[in-house]
Amino acid sequence: MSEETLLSDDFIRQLVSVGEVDLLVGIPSRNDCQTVGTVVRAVEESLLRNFRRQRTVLVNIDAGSRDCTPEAVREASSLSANGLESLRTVRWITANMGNATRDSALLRTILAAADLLHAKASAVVSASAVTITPAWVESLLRPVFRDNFDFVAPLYARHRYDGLLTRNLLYPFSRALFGKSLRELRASEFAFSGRLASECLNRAEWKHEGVQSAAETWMAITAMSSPFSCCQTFLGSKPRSAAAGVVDVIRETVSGFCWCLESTESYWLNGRDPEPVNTFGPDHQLTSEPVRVDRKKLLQFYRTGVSELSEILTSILDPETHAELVRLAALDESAFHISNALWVRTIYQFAAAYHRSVIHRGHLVQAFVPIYRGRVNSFLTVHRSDDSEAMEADLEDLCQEFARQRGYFIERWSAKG
Amino acid sequence: MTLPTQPEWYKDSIIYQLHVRTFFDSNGDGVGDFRGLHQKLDYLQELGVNAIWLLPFYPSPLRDDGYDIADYCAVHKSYGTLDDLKAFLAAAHERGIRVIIELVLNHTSDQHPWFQEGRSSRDNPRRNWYVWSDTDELYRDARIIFVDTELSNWAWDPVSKAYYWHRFFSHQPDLNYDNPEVREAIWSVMKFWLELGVDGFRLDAVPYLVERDGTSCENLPETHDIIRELRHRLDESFPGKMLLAEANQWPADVSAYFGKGDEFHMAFQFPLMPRMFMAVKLEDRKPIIEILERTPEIPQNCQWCTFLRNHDELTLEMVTDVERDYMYDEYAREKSMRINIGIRRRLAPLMDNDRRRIELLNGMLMSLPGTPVIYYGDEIGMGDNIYLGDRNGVRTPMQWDGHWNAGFSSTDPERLYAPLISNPVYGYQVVNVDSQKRSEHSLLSWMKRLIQVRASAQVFSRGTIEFLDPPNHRVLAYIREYGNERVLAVNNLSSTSQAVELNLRKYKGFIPIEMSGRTIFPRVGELPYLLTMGPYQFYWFRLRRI
Repeated sequence: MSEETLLSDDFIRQLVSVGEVDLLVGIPSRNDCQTVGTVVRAVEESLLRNFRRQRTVLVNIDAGSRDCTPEAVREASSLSANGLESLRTVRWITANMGNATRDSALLRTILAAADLLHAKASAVVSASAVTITPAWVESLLRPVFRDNFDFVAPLYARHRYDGLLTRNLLYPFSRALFGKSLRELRASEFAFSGRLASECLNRAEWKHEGVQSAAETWMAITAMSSPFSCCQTFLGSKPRSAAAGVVDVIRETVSGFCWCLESTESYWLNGRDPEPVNTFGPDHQLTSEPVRVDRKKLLQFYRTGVSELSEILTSILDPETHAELVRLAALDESAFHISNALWVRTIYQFAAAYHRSVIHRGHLVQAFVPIYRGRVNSFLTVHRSDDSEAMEADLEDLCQEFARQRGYFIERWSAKG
Repeated sequence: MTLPTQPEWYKDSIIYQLHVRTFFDSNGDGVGDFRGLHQKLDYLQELGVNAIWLLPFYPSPLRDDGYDIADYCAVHKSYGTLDDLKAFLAAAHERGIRVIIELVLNHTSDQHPWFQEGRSSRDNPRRNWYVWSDTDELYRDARIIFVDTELSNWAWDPVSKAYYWHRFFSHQPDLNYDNPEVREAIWSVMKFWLELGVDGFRLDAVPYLVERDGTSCENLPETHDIIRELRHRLDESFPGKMLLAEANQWPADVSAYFGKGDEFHMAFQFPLMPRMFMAVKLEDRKPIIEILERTPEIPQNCQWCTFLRNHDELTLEMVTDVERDYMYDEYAREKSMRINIGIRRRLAPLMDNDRRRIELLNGMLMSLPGTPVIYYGDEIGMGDNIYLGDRNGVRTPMQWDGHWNAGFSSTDPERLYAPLISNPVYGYQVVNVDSQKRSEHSLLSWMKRLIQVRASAQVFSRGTIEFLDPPNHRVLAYIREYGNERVLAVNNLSSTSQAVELNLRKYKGFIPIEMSGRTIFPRVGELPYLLTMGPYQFYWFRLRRI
């Protein structure tokens, strides 16, 4: 999609009216009527409280909401933010892109606005972030605006059983390859500089499914794999997103991540030493309120998957790894455990197979789902009594395992045939 | 000679503010005088102003630049004689220029005979002409105005062994307006000058006339009673004369000084002034719109008096703390530029000598509602000297030419009442009337044309205002309307070029004619009217239907 057709005449007109800004906050929305008002008010309050001298604009890009989202945005934006004084007019830009619009197009529109308005620092916040406070926006924007970072990833207080795909795959895998310890690569809240906005906007990769399915991840990895400075900042409680199916989430995340690996291989293939990442606030916070988890069902999914997808798995995995996964499926619940070493080896083999397209990539990712469920079962079992420090220690072990087997991965990735 | 009575003439005035001392020295003693001012009336007539406001010229120890008056009915000998003033008045009137003089109602010099008598003993008949107390406990809620120099509003008088009240410097004791003798004496003073032929008074420091314990001692109902009384007497005995209030207050409080059209004829638009400067720095019309939306309607026979700079600091009393900090950071980074609660700089240095910004601010001054005041020297872009102490840095000699003493005086430079501005940017060799008269494109020539256009249309002086609300907040646009006259004013507050779409559907079919060049612009149609504007540019369009 060319940039010219992405931006409607009305949108351009609104950009003209606003003119150059210092700060931009983008709020993509899609049927977020119940929550967007809270988000809008928190953002406005933050701008008025923390950036009252700066030229600011809020950009709401809506994906054709069928509920009252646009009205809720209008209503929330017309209320004064707790009577806070503003030196400048708080500017708004709104656009409705239709309900067929993918999230990547919403993000790209925000990037286009940031680029055309020469915003020095921009942040994206989710319209469903009910846990947002005014401090979030300040925490996101300040490292870019004041400290000249290019990319700011968030850190959240999460439930110990939340974000398992990130904990078990995205974070340790990206850390091993890119050398940077950014924990949240698939976040709805992040910030970026004008430089990074321009860079991402002008890349041709927007057409690719890998970007379209996980644009935020792609942007984070673009920042990590280029000479852009990255950091992370603690926000607060992670908003629980609407229950998307695990299959869809895995498909989008894993596909997107693998695609990113392919597009950045020149950066990580020769190996990257770990670099420290500036972290503002605590780098982790886990909460432990009781939740119901059905470990039995997860194990059942694993067993079924390993059995029914055996032929596919043999084309992805080496015989030893496959055999080990099959052996585990036969164990009873109390003995079942996918170790960190096995898990890492399995992931690396899946990623390499994806790269070599040993089978249709969609089927390959689909085959990963039961393995992931098995891993989740193991994780829940191992950590059911652990405190957050113990869980952090295990996460660090997992990261070290990814790093230890990195050479093996590079070898498999680079192998011909 | 007095000018014919013209109802509400003050609405159509363009006022030039000056201090006699600063303008032109006729006798070579280093101080400007009335004969000198008389000689420069042609310049003022050519400039296009039709009223002069004179700062205090009374006998005074000059510890507050003449605002400490020691004799209300005479002329300080440095400035000439009463006859000199009368001659000047007559000459001004011959040229159609009215003269407004300063009257400091609130206080006198401690050298005034009234105070000298009053302090001499508690039984003196003039004792009660001032506000005395045995303690400094009363009126605790009154703020201190000259915060840089005064620690209290009470001063101990060692002569009469009591405290006296002063809202300004301690050498300026407040008159006691609860005493009818004081009110009568002040009326006599006004009568004296009115009979001489002055056209009006700028009354200094009016909010502070009356004190009451437990109040802020500002804007009290009794103060308004006194003003109403003076106005009534003025209208009865001297119709057609004007009272102008100096009331540095928030919009609602200033508006109160118009009463029901039975107090002041005019009042300074103090709240608007700093916000014009703020809007240009912020590149956002918000401060101007907000303050004008907060400003109440005023009686039909009254008028705001608008200004950019004057002899005092650019006051930041009537802005919020956030706004004040912003103004200090943007316009007065050096602490020496700040005094009391304001900034002691002239217009041109505040605008970094940017001709476009100077023009823009003058354009707004002349097109927003109100009677505009031009501070002497700002028409040629004079600079300032922040090292002169108090607010004297904006009161330096007028720069007439690039020669001896800037053509201000024939005396030795060391004898001048204040040093000339002589740096390479604003110095008199560079910035002076003579050199600017030689160029069609100088600031002075431009100001003359601007004033001419302003004076050509009563819509500016008497019209209503309707703000347009274009999406581009960097543009301030409004329609002025008076009878059949309509003017569209559009101001680009930004340092960059801007495009703006104006909703002029109400004026569909009208032809905008740019007023300085009389250029015809495309007719207004159904669609938003698109204008593109250079940095700090402004337009005045007369809207004509033919």
